[in-house]
Amino acid sequence: MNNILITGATGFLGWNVAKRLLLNKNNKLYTLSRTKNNEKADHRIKSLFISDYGDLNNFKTQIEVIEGDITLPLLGIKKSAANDLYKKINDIYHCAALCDFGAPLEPIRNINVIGTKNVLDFAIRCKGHGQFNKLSHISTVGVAGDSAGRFYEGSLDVGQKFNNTYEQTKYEAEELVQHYRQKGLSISVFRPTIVSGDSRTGKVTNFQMFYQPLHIFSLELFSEIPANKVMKYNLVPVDYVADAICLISPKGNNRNYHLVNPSTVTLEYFLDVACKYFCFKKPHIIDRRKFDYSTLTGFRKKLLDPYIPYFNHKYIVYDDANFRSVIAGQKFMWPKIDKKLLLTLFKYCDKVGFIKRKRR
Amino acid sequence: MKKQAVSRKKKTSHNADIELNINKIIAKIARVKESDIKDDIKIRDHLGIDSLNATEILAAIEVKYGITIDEAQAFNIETVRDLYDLVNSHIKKI
Repeated sequence: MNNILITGATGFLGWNVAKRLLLNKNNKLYTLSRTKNNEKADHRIKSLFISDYGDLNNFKTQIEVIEGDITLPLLGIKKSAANDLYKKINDIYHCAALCDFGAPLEPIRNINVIGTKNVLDFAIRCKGHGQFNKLSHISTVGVAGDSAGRFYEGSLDVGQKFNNTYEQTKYEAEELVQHYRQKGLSISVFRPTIVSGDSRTGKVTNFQMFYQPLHIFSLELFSEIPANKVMKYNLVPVDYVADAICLISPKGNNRNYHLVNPSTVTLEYFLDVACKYFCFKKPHIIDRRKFDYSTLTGFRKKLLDPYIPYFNHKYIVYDDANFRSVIAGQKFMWPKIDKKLLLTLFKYCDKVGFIKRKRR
Repeated sequence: MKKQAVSRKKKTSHNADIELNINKIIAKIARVKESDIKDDIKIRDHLGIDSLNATEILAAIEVKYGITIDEAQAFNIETVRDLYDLVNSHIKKI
C-alpha cells in the first residue's frame, strides 16, 4: 500500500488530484481537512464523493479523513494520530492554498507560506521514520511576477515584482521549498498557468482566476478597459493539470515543472466568444497608454485594478523543458483552447448560475 | 400643507424606487431572489455575499446613480437598510 497525505483535497485542483490518485487501488489517501462553516471535515469530503460518484462506497477503504489545519504547527493533527502518520506516509501532495488576488498579505501568507512550512516540517518528520519518498507542491507560474522574457523552471528570484499577494506568497512558499530541499527532502514543484474548469464538462468548484473578471464584465460596468488585445492567455483545464501532476509525481525528482499549454487565446478572442455566448456588451479594449484612467474611480477601479496587470503583462515565455522531458513517451497532450472548449467552460457557468446567459 | 404632503409622497416613492433598484442589483449579482432581500438582514451573513460580489454591488450602484461611494463608509454597511441609507445620502447631495 502506498500511503499518501493530501492537503486541499476539498479544493478545486486538490479534489481532481485526489480522484486520480484513488484510481490506483494500491493508494491509500489521508486527506487533511478542517471543519469549515460548521461542516466537519469528513462531511466535506463525503459531499464531494456524492456529487461526483453518488456515494463513497467504492473508495471507503482507500480514504481516511484527518481533521487538521495546515496553518497550525504539525498541521494541527492530534499527537497520537500524527505519530502514526509519520511512520506510514510515503508521499505528500500539498494542494491547499488561498488563491485570491485581492487578499490582504497576512491572512494569505498564513495559508500559503506558514501552511507550506508546516507541511514541509511534517514531511521532515515522516522522512525521519524512513518510509517517506517525496512531496509534490502545487505552485503557480505567478511566482515569476512581472518578469519578462524567458522564465525557466529552475528560476525563482529574477528580481521580479509581484502583481498581488497571491503571487508574492506563492513565491515565498517556493523559497521555503528550496530551503527544505537542502535539508534532504525530495520535492517536485508544479507551476500551472491559468487553471480552468474541466475540459469535458466545464465543471469548476470555485470560480477564481479568469472567472472573476469574466463575471465583472458580464455586469456591463465597463465600456472600456486598458488592455493589450493581442496578449495571449494560457489556459490549462483542471483535468489535464491533475493528469500531468499524477503522471509526473512518481517520476519527478526535486525539480520544478511548468504546466503551460502551447495553445493560447487572445483577450480579444476570449471576450468575443464570452460576449456572444452570455449576450453581454463587450468592453472596448484600449491600449493602456491611451486609456483615460480618470474615468476609473470608486468601486469600479477597485474591481478592475487587480486584473489590469494581467491584461497588460510584459511578454513572457514559461520554459517547460523539464516538463517536456519527463512527459516524453507518455500519452499526454495539452488540449487546443478553441471556441468549443471555451463554450464548454461558459456553459457550465450558465448551468450553475455563476453567470446567467441572457435569453434572446 | 398639501404641497408638503405631495412632496413627502414623491420622496417616499422615490426612495422606494431606489430600494427596488438596489434589490435588483443585489439579486442579480448575488444570485438570490428579490423576495429574499429584506431591510434588516445582514448582507454578508444572510445573503452569502463574498467580497467580490460586495464590490460588484457597490460598483453597479455607482454606475446606476452616477455617484462615488466612500470606501470607509461602505466598510460600515451591515444590513440592506444600511446600504439603502448610504445610497440615499449620496443621492440627496446631488
